[in-house]
Amino acid sequence: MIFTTISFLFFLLVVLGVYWSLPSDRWRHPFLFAANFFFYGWWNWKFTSLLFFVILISYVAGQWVQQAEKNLALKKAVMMMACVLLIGILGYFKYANFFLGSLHAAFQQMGGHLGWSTLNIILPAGISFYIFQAISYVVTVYRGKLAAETSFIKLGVYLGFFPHLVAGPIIHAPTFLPQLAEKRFFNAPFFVEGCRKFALGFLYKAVFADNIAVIVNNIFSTLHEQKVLSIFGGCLGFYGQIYFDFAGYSLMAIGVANLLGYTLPDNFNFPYRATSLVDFWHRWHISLSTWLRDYLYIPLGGNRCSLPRNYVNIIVTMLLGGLWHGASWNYLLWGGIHGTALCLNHFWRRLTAEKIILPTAVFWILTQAVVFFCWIPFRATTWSDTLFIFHQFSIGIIQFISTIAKLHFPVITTALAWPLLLLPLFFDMAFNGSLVLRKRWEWDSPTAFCAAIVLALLCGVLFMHCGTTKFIYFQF
Amino acid sequence: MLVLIPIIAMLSLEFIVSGKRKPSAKTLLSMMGCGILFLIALRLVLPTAWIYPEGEATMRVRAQVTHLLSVKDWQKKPVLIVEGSSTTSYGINGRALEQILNDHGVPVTVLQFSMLGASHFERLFMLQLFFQELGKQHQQELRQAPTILLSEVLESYDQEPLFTFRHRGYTNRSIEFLSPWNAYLTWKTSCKKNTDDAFLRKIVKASYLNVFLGGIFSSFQPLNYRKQAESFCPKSEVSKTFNYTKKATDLKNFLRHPPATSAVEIPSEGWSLYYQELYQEYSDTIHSLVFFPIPTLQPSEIIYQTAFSQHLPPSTMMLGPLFRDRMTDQLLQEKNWSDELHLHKTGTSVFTQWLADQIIEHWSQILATPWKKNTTR
Repeated sequence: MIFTTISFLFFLLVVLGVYWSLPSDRWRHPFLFAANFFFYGWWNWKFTSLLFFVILISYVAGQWVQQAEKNLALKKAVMMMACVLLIGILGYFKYANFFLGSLHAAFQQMGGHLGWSTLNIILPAGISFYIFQAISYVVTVYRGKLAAETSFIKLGVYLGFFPHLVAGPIIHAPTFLPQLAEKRFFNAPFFVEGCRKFALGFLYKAVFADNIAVIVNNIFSTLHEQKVLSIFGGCLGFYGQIYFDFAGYSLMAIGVANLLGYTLPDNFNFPYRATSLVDFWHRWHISLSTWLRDYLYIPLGGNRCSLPRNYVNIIVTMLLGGLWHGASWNYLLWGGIHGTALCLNHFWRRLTAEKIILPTAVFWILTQAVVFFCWIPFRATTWSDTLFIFHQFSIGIIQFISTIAKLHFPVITTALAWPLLLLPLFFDMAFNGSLVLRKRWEWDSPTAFCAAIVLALLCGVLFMHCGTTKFIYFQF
Repeated sequence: MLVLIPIIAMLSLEFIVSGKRKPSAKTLLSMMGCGILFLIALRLVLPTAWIYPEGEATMRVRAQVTHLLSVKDWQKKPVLIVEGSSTTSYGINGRALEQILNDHGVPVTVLQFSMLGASHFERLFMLQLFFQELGKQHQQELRQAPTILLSEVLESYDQEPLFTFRHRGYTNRSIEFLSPWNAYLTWKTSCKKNTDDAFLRKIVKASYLNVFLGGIFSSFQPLNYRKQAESFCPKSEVSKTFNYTKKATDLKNFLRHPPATSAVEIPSEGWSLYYQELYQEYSDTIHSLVFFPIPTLQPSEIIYQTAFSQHLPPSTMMLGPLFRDRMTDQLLQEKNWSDELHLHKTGTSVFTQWLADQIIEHWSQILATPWKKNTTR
């Protein structure tokens, strides 16, 4: 179910109506558990068993880890086994085809032939998200930061919580499970805040992301027929689209959770305001970067090791982060570039230690240029498309320089039309993202606040793109 | 600059705060209710052509209304309405048809309501819009003219009235025409066959967007902004996958030994509901209903046209058949075809001329076959 569809609207209205009509959490938790499975089964009911199985593994592993508290070796073995099992499930569904396909291609390159190429495996929606949450739960219990959940239903509510089930944010167990132990009361301001977040996410996704997607998809589907400038425009459009798409989804997810009385942490904090890559990763897909830090980077040794090892850890983490998005060389390249750029960022900080002072704008441009170029392999359908785009860009840069040298301005004027695609992004980053401006110009009025939510929703309906586009992060 | 409206809405969500005073859920929900009622009221009060002024169907209908009203004393001569899908849109030059007929002593005004992939329901919708736009007085005058409807026979739409809607979408257009009533009609006819949830959801979604004005400023422009208003769209390119020699050879072989048409099923459900609706609403206005065969190189379509001509709806007639004597040689030339179902612009004049000849030949019969003669349908 996609948040911007009529079916989800009906589902949400029914869930909210029934949920708040139930007398206590004793009834609400099983209801939410069932609603989660209904939501997941709407896409493909066969995979509800997979979700159930993941909850079961996490539940049993959590209990065993808790019971083996004094036997450290056993405790570790159980945790490792659960993690291997969970990663095995993820690996089978997400990466089997990729590795088999790559193996097949490698054999063909060497002149050999394998009788098979790939398996016919369907990727279950949101598998990367709930598997990571399950790992987060088991590891947290192992580390002793959280008691194992005794209620299977509550654990099911956490792992399958429908607002963030299929596209995140990835909620860490200590953030959510304690909320299930607290009593829920209908809190009107919290409910209204949920509506505000949902309305904002709806504008992001249905109006901005989907309308930009039309142009971007058109360019990327006919890549080889496009001029350099159009390809650049398409990449620029995607730079905005992916933010509005994913930040929109996250906001809607957080909003829906608020409507049910739960709090989810922010997943985005105006990432395109970042002036360094380190800063960018503190603002973009915060739940994933936090997960990678806590469950991958730190166990690898983090920064408490030699400098070269630290850089290797960063690159490995980012490569795996890239692979998490999907089984393809493009995502590996995306992770690789980010990892290398992060290392350079750290190296620069260490080298200069604030001795060299440059204008913030320089850092902002450099950071956003890296982010922009990283989105190219992320969006391109194939490896050859990625290379084609980079090749076209290199030609385009030479052309652009010669154009400037000849003072041939019509081309430059045409190029200026593309950034208009990012007008909503500019306003979002420059105004919404500025605390100073928000403090200076904020208008305090509960009635106007409600009116703004309603008008934003109406505006979203009028301006939404007619053909709903799926969320980009659904495929991950 | 329409884009500024959602941007302002986005900014207002961050810059307007409730502060220490708590907002009330009741206030919010009642405001939401008012907002929904406002949209529904707006949709009910304003006619479709106002809501979707730049919708493809609306623009085409308006172009035809303008043409009709620009003809001097149009009330004094018959009005010929040509309706159909892409085959008609690419294949019939309405203005040329009008000229030929006038030159040959058949004084008519030709209006063309064809549209790419137009299903029966969209064709009905365009006629509804047309009569709404004209107003009561002109409707009365049309009745007197009289008005003759020239309708395309194409198997794909008769078998499945929403053929392209199901297969290709045309999302914006379907929102424009799928008012709840049209959605009901569509469902009633099309979902009986090949029922599938995805298709039903598509209809419900389009209808819901129609009621709530969903996406009327999609892409930050009025829906279907700058779509072509003229129905006649001659085709200047040839399909890359089209092999004329093979298709023409197959067709010639077929024409030499045409099979029996008894095995062809004429789907009464498919076309009859559309024509029943049309009959109920406009049989007073439309004097005669005449079918014409589409130009095609597909033998199956020709078999269907022949079978259809043998099972016509009551009090209607059909022109043709198309491939006969001289016409076969004229039309069967490579330069005339874009693909097996669509004429190239060079073939348009041949087919338009053929249609004009047919109308001239059967003119007295057309006028003498009123549609409303049969009252039991």
